[in-house]
Amino acid sequence: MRVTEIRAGTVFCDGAEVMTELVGDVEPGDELLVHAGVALVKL
Amino acid sequence: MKYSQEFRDAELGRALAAEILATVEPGRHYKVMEVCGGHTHAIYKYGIADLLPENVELVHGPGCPVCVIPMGRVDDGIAVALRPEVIFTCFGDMLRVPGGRGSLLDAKAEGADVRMVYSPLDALRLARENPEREIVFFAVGFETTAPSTALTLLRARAEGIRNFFVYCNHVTIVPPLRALLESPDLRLEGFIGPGHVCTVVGARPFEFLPSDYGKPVVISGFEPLDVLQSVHMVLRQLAEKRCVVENQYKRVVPYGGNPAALRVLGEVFELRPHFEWRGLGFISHSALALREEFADLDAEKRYQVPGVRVADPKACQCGEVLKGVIKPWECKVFGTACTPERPIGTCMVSSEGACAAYYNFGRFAREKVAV
Amino acid sequence: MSATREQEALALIERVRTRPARFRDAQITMAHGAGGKATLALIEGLLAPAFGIETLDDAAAVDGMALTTDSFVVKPLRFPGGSIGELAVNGTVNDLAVGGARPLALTLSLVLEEGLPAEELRAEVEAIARAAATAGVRVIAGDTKVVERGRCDGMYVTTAGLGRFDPRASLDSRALRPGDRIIVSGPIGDHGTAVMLARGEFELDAPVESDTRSLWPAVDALLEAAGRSLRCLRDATRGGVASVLNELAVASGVGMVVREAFVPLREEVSGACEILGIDPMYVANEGVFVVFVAPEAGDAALAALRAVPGCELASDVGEVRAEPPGLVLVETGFGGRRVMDMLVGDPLPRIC
Repeated sequence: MRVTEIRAGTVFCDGAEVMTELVGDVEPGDELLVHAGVALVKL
Repeated sequence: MKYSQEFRDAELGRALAAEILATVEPGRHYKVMEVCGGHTHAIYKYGIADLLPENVELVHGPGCPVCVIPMGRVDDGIAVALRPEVIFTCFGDMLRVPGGRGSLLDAKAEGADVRMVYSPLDALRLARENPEREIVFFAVGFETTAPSTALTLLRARAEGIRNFFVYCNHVTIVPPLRALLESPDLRLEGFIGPGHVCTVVGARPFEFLPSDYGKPVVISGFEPLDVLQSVHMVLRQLAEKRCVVENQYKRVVPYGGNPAALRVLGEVFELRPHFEWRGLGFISHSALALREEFADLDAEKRYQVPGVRVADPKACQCGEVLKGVIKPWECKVFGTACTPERPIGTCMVSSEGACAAYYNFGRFAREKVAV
Repeated sequence: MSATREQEALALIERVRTRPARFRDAQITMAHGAGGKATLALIEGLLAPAFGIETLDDAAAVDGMALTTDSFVVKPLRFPGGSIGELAVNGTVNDLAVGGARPLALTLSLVLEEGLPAEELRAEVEAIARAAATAGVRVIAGDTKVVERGRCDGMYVTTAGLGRFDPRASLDSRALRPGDRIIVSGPIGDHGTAVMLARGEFELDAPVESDTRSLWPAVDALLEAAGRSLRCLRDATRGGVASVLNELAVASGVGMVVREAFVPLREEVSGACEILGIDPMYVANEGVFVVFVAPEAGDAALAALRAVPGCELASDVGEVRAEPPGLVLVETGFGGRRVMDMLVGDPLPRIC
């Protein structure tokens, strides 16, 4: 999924909140492999 | 979505299918197990089996996380869900999995407040919005899903949320594979490794497949071309008499996995001494429980779940079906005591399980052979 | 030896599968309302036998007139592209239309929840009036009930529709023959996806709107172009296109082949369904129907359909075959095949 928004430290992909603790810093436009709301890999 | 399209090209698929045909020895029968339910789904969705030579058979492994939850654990979950103070949350595909006395959908009809969530974060949000209720999350899944539960628990702890609890049913993929491989009558020649699990644990935990059991394994992605290419890589290892862990899914899976995720798993979970798998029986060190430090968020401790144990009927032969020893229709309860409407074993629970697929489409499979 | 045992096992399954559906559940679950196997068991096992009804069609014939009824319980009441009021008109009008009947009049029953804001009610009544005017039907009778707060989700709407069978039509769900073309009238899954997203359960933003519309203009055009070559029409509401194909494959005792790549599907819907783990073939539509037409009239039917607003993307997706009876096969875009089965319960997102 693509990061579409970062609001007050919370990351959203297409409107859904995604936990990114496991992949380090992300910015809008990054592609993430997301499983059950957590990003496992930055693609 | 564009990202995926290049891995769904039918032209490339046909080319790979031709290469696979050239790799296999005519007259030799190949059984390759795809471990992960996600692969089973892709194989079904894209009709990948149609592109393989007749003597290459894909065997669906024990990797559908909702199908392997035993009936007793479902019944325990329902007992919690029926408590009036509880909002019980779970993933959509868990809702229909039958326990000994019906499914969570049935419990919902009886009045339990059961809600489908897409991530444990949704459950945590419910906890914030409903401080007077107790929110329980039915955690299922392999190492892919466990980090999400772990991070959510850490958030609950950090925010001081006291009405969020986890009913932990996370399982690990290696022990059931070992259990299958220990069987002397195993008929599998190679494995398609679970790509998403490997994003967390890496490829290393699968080295035992070639080193201890002499079976090649290829870590695979989930697009149809990924799966086809992985099958080809397994067959090529067999043809060249090589036997190693190969990583077809390099664009996503680092060999060492995700160290941060492994750290979080270690912080929150510990291995259970043993755990029951539907159709496979008890397997040592095959599941996760919350560590003592998280006992106050552990639904099993809070509600003293009854610990129901519903024995799989003796006649259920899921283990043999998974090992490729018998065909679904050779199982003693197939189609009689065990049907898709009232399934007993894991192979019948998921519509993509070997037995359910055979039950529903056996006629079609037979015609295909006749063609 | 073992081949015989396999055949015995298959024969046993076949006997169980083809047994008339029985309604044996202890209580009603959400699955009974999902349009799949449980719904069929409820209708075929309890309702139809009680009233001596033999064939299950969208609209029934009474003295040359067509009669149908439908209830609407959607949550939320308003969603992108429509609202419960529009659905209540179009849903019933469409049941008449795909039965080959020109919609004439509707009755309207409202069950209202205590506390429903008058503004919301007024908006829905206006939506009903507008949709009825667009569809060319009159609302000629009705009823109103109010229940206590918490006893229904704002409002439930029931409409009954009266229509006149069109002399150009001879439609029958048992009339499909090998070689018939299968046409889908527009992009699938829009309505169900729009409502799922509007419920806010998934926190997913995607610009998807319900496709609710009257299908009579499209049916009218088809009857003009293909008349008696049309075998059967079905609106692909609850249970989606997959359920329509399965029901008719069983009703006519035929097989079907659908080419996935030709099924019209918007990219936004495809993306949302992929993320949610749902197959769009099972997602509800409110303005899409499936056309079964004799092969020689297939092109004319498709051209006529594409000229109707809302059906520009109509597509010939496959054909009826003799074998295997009762099964719908999908040729995937990747070049393989799979069986597209009847839905077992609600389409639920998958985790693995």
